[in-house]
Amino acid sequence: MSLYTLDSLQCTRTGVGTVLSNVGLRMDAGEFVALCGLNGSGKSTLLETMSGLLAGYTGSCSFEGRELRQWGPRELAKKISFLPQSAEPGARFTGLEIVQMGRYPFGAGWGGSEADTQVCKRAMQLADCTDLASRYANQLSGGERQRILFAAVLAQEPKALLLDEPGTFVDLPHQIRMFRTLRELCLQQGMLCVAATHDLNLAAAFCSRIVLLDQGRVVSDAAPNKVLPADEFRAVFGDHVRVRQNEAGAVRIHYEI
Amino acid sequence: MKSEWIWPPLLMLAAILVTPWFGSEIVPPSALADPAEYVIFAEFRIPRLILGLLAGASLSVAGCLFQAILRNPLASPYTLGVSSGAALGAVIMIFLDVAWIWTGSALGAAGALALMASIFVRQRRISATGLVLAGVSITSVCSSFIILLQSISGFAKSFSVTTWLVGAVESVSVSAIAIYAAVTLPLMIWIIWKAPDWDLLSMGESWAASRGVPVRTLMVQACIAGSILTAATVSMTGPIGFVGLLVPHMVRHYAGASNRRVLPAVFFCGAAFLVCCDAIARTVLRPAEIPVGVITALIGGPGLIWILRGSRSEV
Repeated sequence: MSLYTLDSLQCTRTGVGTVLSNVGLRMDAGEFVALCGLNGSGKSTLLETMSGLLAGYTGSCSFEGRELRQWGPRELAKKISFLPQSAEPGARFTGLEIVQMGRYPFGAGWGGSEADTQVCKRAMQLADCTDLASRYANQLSGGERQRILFAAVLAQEPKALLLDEPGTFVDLPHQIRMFRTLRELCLQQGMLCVAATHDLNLAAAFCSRIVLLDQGRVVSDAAPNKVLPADEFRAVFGDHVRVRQNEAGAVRIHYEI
Repeated sequence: MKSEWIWPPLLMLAAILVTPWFGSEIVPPSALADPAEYVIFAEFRIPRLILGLLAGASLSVAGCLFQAILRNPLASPYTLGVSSGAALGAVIMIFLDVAWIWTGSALGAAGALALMASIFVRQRRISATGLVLAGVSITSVCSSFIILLQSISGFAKSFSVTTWLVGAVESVSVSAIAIYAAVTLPLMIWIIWKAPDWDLLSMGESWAASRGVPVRTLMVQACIAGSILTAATVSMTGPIGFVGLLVPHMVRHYAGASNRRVLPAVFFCGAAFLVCCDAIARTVLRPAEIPVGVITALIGGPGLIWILRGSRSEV
């Protein structure tokens, strides 16, 4: 059974209109899926629906065979962790306090047991932000904050990790490190990871699958070296984005400007 | 780490030990041997002390809660319009010459809250900005009504309205304090216990929701809890300003933003702050008394400015 089953999923948002139409997808444990598409193509809405934040959808979106609406917020948070675009760690929380928020669904809101502390430590190592533990979030740079938030969603130890632009503000070495970490978690621990991203090269290098969205529809869904060279991709991204494929079959993006 | 937890309760303990001796007459502990002095002390100063502790803690905890869930550093018990609703209710009672000021302010607070609730039941969602806007509207409508009532009532009534509106901690009956404590203490304990939830909410609603916080339910519960704290306090003391703003900011200035540390500290510091202000209010112009609302504003306003100037970080 697939972890996620989406069937003729339709989403409308007030003031925007239909954002997703007739989306059908299956996602399994161990996959690392990149959601790609232009601005406003429905990537964030799809992630928010899959994370259970938007209850007003039609069609079906089920996790572990159970419709998302029927999950309680806490039992869902024990299995699905979502890094939204709009988290505002502006206040004077320390890095560690933000990471500990990831343990909230396990009843560890007040800091939790020694085991919870260990989980947080490991998550901070994975996100390479151990040195930021005692710094206040409003004294960090945007990228450092994003790494703290990344550690927090890892500390939730989810079965499915949904990330909306995880690389925002993050420097290139740390972006690469982040995607490598995600791939390892998928391969070694069977986590499902779905990331909306504009970095097609990272998606091509690390993801097992690319779902290409255009105006709320899935126009292409396959391995990176199938999706990127295809006509559908060029139709969405235009002529300035070129795809090269080497002898081994790996694809890389470059810009024709 | 340890000292952070120990200071606020010590501060409150010091306030409890020091302030009751000060007042229109300064009563040294040795004078309690005199039965007359003892009666004054036990029947006036002690209830007044307890009321001050509870009111200070309630206003501060409510302010801290509103600031967290509305993600607005200017939020305070006044933000939701509950405070001004309570004030309007009380002023109407004074205007009508009815002795039920207490009931009036409770009804006024409930009215403001119901009005607020009706807006958000219609909209089917609660946004932080929406709450603040609605609160500001309710507040200005209520204050206009209060001014209207004041201008059509006689001089004496208008004066007693003004006095009430400044806010004062006065001696009240033990049974009234008992009811007040029974309402506010459980609410404050619940709010402090839920500190991790407010932390998550203060990072944004989608952040909280995807950590498993039942956002809508909790926002409604928080608004009701904060409003009851405010309404109960306003009905006992009148609207005392600046406590719900100054104390949380002061504590956050030293302890960071995490409500796990801030809320317990705010509880103790708020209690200590108001009884100290009250002691000053009844001592400086002895034997006359100044309403404590004047002192909190005189200390609170400049205090807040000083904290804001000193903090390099955003509030």
